Amino acid sequence: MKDGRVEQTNFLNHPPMRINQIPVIETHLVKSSEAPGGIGEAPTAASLDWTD
Amino acid sequence: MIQFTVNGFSQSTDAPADTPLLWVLREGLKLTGTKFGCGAGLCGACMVHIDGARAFSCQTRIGEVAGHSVTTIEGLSTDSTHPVQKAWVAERVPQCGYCQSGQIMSAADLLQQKPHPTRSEIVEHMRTNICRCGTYQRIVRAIERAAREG
Repeated sequence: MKDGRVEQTNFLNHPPMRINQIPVIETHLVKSSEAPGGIGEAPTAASLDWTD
Repeated sequence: MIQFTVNGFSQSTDAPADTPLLWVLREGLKLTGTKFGCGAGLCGACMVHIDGARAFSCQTRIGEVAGHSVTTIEGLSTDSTHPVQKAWVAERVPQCGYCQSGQIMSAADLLQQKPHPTRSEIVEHMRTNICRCGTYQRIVRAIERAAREG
């Protein structure tokens, strides 16, 4: 962010992971006593954290 | 007036020749299965087939398709029974779904060229299409299934 605006304009300067860049992803559900929350979005974090 | 074929039907438009095909499909013909993602040929959400080969409809000017045949996700099959569509359902590929029609059109193009691609050929071909949800592993599995089951 710069001056209150997102600096990146498109996938050229904000490249999400492509199919040839992802690691092998295994999903494991873990028992927890926490309040119910979201599941299934782990790959999203991985794919958006990509930077070249 | 530009005349072309979409999903087997003759169409015509008076849109300027440099109008993106994607605009004519979505705004003119109301075929909204094809998505706008980036407008720059980077993400693949707008993928269609022109004369049987995949193309970014956001990067294709309507003038270029004069006299040619366009297939969109709506025309890939009449009843959602294209092998890629069946495999997509069986493998439960989509999450949010936005990129999926483009993914399916790219996958169908691959299998038309190579009915039994290797895993690396699948990955190489599909790198044109971004999936923010990260459904890539299921995309690979679905294409392998479509190749296997037809």
